[in-house]
Amino acid sequence: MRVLLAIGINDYDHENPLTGAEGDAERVFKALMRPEIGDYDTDRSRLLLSPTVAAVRATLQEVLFAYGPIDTFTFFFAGHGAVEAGSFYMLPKDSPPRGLSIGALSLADLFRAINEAAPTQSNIIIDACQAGGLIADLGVLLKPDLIGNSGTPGVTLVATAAQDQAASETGAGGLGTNALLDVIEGRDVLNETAAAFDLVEIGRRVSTRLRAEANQTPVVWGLNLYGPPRFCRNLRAGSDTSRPLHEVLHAWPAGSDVQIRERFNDLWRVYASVNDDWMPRRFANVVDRLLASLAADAQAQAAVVERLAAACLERARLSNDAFRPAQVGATLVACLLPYLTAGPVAQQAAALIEEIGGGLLAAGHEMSAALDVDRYALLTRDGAGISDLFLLPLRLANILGWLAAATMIFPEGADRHEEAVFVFGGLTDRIVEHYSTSILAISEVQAAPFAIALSQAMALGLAGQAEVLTSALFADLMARKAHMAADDIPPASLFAFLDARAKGDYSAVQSFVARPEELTPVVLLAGARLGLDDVFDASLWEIDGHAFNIYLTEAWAQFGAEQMTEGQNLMWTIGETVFVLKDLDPASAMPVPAPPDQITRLVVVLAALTYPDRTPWFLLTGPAEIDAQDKRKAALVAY
Amino acid sequence: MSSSQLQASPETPAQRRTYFAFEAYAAAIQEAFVTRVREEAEAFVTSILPPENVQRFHHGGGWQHPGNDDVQGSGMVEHIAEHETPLEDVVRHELAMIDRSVDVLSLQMQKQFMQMLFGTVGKAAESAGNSIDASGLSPLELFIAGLETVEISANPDFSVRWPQFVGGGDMAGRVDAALRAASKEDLARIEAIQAAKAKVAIERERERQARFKHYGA
Repeated sequence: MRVLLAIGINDYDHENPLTGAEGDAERVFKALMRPEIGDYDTDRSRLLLSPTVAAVRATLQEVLFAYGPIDTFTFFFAGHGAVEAGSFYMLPKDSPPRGLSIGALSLADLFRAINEAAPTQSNIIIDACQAGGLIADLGVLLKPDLIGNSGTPGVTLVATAAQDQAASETGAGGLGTNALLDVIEGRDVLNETAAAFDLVEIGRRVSTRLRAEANQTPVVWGLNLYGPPRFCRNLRAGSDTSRPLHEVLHAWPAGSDVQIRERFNDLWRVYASVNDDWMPRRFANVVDRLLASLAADAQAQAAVVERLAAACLERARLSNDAFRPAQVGATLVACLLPYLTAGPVAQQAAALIEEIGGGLLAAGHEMSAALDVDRYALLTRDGAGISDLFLLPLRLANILGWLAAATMIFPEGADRHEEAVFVFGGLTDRIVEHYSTSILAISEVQAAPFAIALSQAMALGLAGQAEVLTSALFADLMARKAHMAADDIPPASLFAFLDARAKGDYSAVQSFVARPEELTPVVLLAGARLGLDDVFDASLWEIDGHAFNIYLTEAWAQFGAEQMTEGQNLMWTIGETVFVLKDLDPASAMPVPAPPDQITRLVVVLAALTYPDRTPWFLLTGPAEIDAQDKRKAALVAY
Repeated sequence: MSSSQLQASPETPAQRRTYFAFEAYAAAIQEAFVTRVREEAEAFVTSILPPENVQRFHHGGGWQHPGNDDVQGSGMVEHIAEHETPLEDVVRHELAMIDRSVDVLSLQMQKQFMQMLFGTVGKAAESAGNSIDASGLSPLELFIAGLETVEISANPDFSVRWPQFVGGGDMAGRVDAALRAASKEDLARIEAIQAAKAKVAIERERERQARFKHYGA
C-alpha cells in the first residue's frame, strides 16, 4: 500500500496569503499518483487545499491508521512554516499567531505519527519558509523515542528554503517544488540506469540545483536502506515508460532487509556522526558488519552502499570540514575492499570513487579561494595557535595526499584530469611558497599522504615541488633525530610531545615516539627517486641507529581492516643495514605487491589516506614515474 | 550519481570552513596547554599562600561570615589573561612560543593575583582601622608600627602564629636590613611588643576555647 498526503495552503487566517502553494501540492499529487511515476493508492491518498489544523490531523489519522499496513508513505507540504522555541511547525490555514504547539503541525508530531504507523519507508517533503529551521529538530528527532529504535522504518526528509529564507515562489510555483517535479517527471535527468529513485537521490539533485540557482540551502536528511528505492519511478530508465512502479519494485533483489533491520540503530548512529563527531573506524565497523552479513549477495551489498553513500555524503556536506564528504566516501569505499571481485560491488566502488574525486576537487577549489583571501586560511583559529604546531604539518600532509589522490582518480584521459592536476599543482605551489616551514616529519601518520603526494608530484612533472617537500621532511628528520609521534599517541599527550620536541628531550614521552616508523622510508625512497642521494647520504649518519619499517602485503582485501595479518614487516636500521640511500631497496627483500586493477589500486590509496597506519608502497617502489615535463602547463591550457 | 552532486557547501554552516581540523586533537592540546598555565599559577599561589590557607568553593557570587562583623564580605574576582600568537610564528613552527605563551599568561595571572590579594588585604585593613600611614617613617619604624597594629593569633596549643610580612618593591629588603642594624634598644622594644601581643593572643585563644562546653576533654 502506497499512501500520499499532499497539502498546499494559499489562504491564511492570520498570515499573508500565498499564491502558488495549492498549485504546488496539486502538481505533486497529480504527478505522483500516475502509475508510471509514483503509483500511489488512489483510495487512500489525499490532497488537501488550505485545510484547517483539525482537518490536517484528522486526515493524517485516517491515512496512517484507518486501514492496513503501509509500504510507502509520502507527505508533501507547501505553505508557511515557522520556528518557535526551537521547534519547526507547518502552518495550516487557521494557525494562530501564538500557540503553534496547539494550532499547527510540528515536525515532531509528524515523526511520532509516522513512527507509530511504521510504514516501511516514509518520505517527507516540505517547501516552506524557514524550513531550514527544522535542522535543529532533526538532532532531537534522532533520539530513540522518536526514531531510530529497533524496527523503525526508513525516513527521508527534503526541505527547501533555509531557516532565514523564504521559500521563493515564482509564477510557475515554488522553486523547490519545481526542481523536485523536474526530476520526478524526467525533465531533469538524474541517470538513465536506475529503475526507481529514493527521495534522498532526488533531494540531492534538488539541493545542488537550488544552491546554484537560487542560493537556497535545502535540507536533505534521512536513511533508507530497506528494499528497493521506492519514492518514484525513473522515467528515463528502460524503454517502457508506462510500466507501473510496483512492477519495477517487484524486480528488486530482496534479502537484505533483515540484516539492515538488525543494525539499524548503529546505522542511524553513525549516519548522525558524519557531519559532527567523525570517526572513520567507528563508521566502518558498522558498515563492515552489515556488508559481511550480505556477503552472499553482491547486488544487495552494492545497493546498500549506494544508498548509504547518498544519505551520508549529503549529510557530510553539513560539516564545517570541506574534505568531509570525500573522507566519508573513502571510508565507505574502503569497506568494499573484500568484495571488489564481484562485478556489482566493483561498479558501485567505481561510481563512489568518481564522486569522491568530485568532492576532493570541490574542496580544493574552495580552499584555493580561501587562500586567495587569507594566506593563513589553513590555520585553526579560535585561540588554537599552539595546537597547530602539531596539527598544521598533519593538515598539510593530508591536503597534499588527498588532492594527489584526485589526480589518480581522474587519470590522463579522464574528463576532469586537467582540473585535478590544476588543483593539486596549484595548491602544492602555494603550500611550498607559504607553508614550507611547516612541512615537518612530526608524526608517522604522515607516511601515507606524503607517499601519495610525492609519487604523484613526480609523476605529474612537479619534481621541483617534490624536491622541496622531500628535502624539508628530510631536514626535519635529521634535526629531530627522527623523533616523531606514534599514530596511537593519546590526544592528551600531544602537548607533552610538542614540549619534548621544543626542548629536544623526549624522555617524558618515550612511549609515544614511533619506533619503528614508516615516514623515514617514504622520505628516503622519494629522495632516491629524485636523485638526492648525494645530499641525503651526507647527513644520514645523524640518525645513526634509527630503525624504520615497511609493511608489505598483497592481501588487498584486508587493506581497510583495523589490523592486517597477512603481510611482512621489513625492518632496516640506519648504521646497520642502511648507510646510504641505495641500501634501502625493498624489492631486494621481496617483490613489492601492487593491486591487480585500477579500482583496487584507487580504493587502496583511499584506504591508506583514511587509515594512515598503512602505506601504498607500490607507489614509491615500482619503476620510477618521474615526468620531466610540468603537466600543469598543459592542464592549465586544457582546463 | 554525478560527481557534481558532492560539492562542498561553504554556506551551509555559519562557521568558518576548515580543512582537516582534527578538532579532538586541537581540543586536547589546548586543554593540556591550559593545564600547564594553571599549574604554574597554582605553584605561584602556593609560594605566597600556604596551601592550608587556600579555600576552594564550588559556587560563586558573594561571601559572608554571619556572626563575624570583623570580616568584610566581597564578591568573585575574575582573573583573565590573554596572549596573542602571531600566525606567522605558527607557520614557522616556532616551538619557543609554547614556553613564551605559558610565561606571558602566567605572569599576567601572577600580577593580577598579587593585585587582588593585596587590594583585598588593604581594603580589609582600612575598614578595620588596621592601617598605618607609612609616610615619613623609616623602614624600622614602619616595621614596628606594623607590629603594633597587627592582631596576632594563637594556635589551640597556645603557641603564637606570627604573621608573614610581605613588602612590595625593595621594601622587604630595606626592612630586613634595618632589623639587622637595629640598636639594642629598638630590639628590646620589638621584643616587648611581641611579648605583649603574644599575651593578648593567648588570652584571646583561651577565651575562645572557653566558649565550647568541654574543649579538649
